[in-house]
Amino acid sequence: MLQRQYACIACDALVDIQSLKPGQVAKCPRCQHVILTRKYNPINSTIALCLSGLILYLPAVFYPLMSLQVLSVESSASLYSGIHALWQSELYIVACLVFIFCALTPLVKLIAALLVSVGVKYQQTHHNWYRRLLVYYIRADSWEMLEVFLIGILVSIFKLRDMATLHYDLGLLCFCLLMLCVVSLKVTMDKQLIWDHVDAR
Amino acid sequence: MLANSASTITAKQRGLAQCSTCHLLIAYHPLTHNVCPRCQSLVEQRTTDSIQKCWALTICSLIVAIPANTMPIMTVLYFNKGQPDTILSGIVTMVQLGMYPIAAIVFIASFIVPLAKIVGLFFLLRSLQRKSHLTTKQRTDLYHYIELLGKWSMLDVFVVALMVSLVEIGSVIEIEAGAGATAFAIMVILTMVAANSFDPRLLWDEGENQSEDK
Repeated sequence: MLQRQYACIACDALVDIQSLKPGQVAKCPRCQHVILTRKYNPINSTIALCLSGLILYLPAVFYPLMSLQVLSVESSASLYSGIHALWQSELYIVACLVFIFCALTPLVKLIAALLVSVGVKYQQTHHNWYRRLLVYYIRADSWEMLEVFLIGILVSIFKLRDMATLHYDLGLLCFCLLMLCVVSLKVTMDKQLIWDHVDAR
Repeated sequence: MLANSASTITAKQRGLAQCSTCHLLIAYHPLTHNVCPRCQSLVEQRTTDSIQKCWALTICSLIVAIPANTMPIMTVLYFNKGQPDTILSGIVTMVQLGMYPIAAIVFIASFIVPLAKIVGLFFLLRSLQRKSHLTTKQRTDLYHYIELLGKWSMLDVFVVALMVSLVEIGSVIEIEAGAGATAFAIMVILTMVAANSFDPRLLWDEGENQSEDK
């Protein structure tokens, strides 16, 4: 069953949407806000992205992103050690926020999107947990900040470049790829299509 | 694009409401809790007390903006000596060192954007009460920009997290995080929640009632 009628989330105009082809976008006639987008091959590419994201997740969080050398003393930083250092400096709120935005929400998004997409493939959409997972994905979506953290890495590289010798580690590559996977979920995940699958059961 | 562009009827006029989580349209019964049958979230026709919540949170974030910009966010210690840096003095240091592009990025992300968000929310809230010379469409766009830019202000907090853990080289050089980082992070979260609590549909409701919008 396909949901045909939508209300624009920006201006509440009622819009009837007939079936869209992949790649087509439905916009609100009154405020031009995007109401619905049909994505190309949403299920399979989401599964692929989530699997690669989950493989990259542990090295991206725990491997050192870069290391700094001053007078033959070296120190390195990873996402995890950054959170740990903030906790040690008694900035508990900031440490928790960084943990939630850069470690927890990406993981929730990857796991939820993977299970949801696999669920569509194996027709498991009627379960209650399935709906909860999809809701978790939607909630986590607006609080995920990996791309901001990447720019943060860039800024700290520039700040430290003149101060000492910097080395880039494997963790940085893993982190960049993880960020690409998580951000690409926005392009491949078709939440409305999956809700239609839920309704169909 | 397949949408009927006849005269617009809103969901509210039809007695419908859309679930904000899963976008299912349901019949709305006022005076009761409307729970979405599909995702079990609470469904509201308009965000409850949207204007009051948004005013409160925006004023709070304006107050928190003061410590966020005056308290030090980090201190660079060379041989246990150093001066604490606030966000603005950190940017000034970067300009003095000739790092113009990166100084511009940090200046925009951690000073202009939070400030613009607070000013923008004040403007939107005021425009609900008085006439504004922007059209409803322009104000809706303004709201979407505020929502979109929200998370980029966290940039400086992440930079502090990285620098603190990266630069711990015994007694030579060390970076300490300051309490300003907490205030700054709280300010960013408050502006994000404030933007979330603002309901853009109210902008259009008002236009309908007065029928003066183009």
